[in-house]
Amino acid sequence: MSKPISKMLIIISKGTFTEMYQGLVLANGALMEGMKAEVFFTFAGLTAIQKSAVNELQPPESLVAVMAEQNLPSINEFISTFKESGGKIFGCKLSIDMLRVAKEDLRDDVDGVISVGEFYERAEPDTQIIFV
Amino acid sequence: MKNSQGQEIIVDAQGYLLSFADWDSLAAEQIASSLGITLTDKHWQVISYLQDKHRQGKDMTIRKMGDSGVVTIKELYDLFPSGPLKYSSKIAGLPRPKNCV
Repeated sequence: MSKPISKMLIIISKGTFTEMYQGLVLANGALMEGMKAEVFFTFAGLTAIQKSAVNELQPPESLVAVMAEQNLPSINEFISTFKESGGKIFGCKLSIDMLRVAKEDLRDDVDGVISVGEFYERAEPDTQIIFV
Repeated sequence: MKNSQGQEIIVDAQGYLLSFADWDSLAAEQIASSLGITLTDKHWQVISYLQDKHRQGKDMTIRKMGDSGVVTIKELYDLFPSGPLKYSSKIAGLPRPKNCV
């Protein structure tokens, strides 16, 4: 049976824990449903793929206990799961240049530093794009 | 679809068994075949693991499967393409998993 959506492209532009988490749930959920999924981290969203910043991304106090109870992953772990599941992650070249992020500070498994145009070019037939 | 006892297996609209009691290996083979999956020993290890967790009342997530020691996340996706948890659960005779993570 063919699926109506074959690929999800998720753009994560926010730097808060909950907004990033929402984007990652959408991306990982797509993989779990058999779609392809790729994430483009831009502006404040870049912190999720920066070694120097990702561990600062902690859940709000109100969610700490329930996340531990339900064994929900941290942002870093979630991205690792997404990658292990076949997802691809990209850093926004403009943001990286503007914010002077060092290449060495990016996760080792980032699939590329690209422009938004190059990210759009990764769309296939029946692709949907979500902006967070 | 019938199991090896000749009993008709009742499934929901998405093909998940309504009663785990109806499940057997023949049912699993038929469900897998309908999904284009040929079951290997590794598939059966995953199926057994999921069924054990189900009997313990534990929900599974992709991450928990990766930590299971039975299969890595990548292996799970390779074994059950297009639906690592939902297809493995369906073949195991279990309800559709509800977790988003």
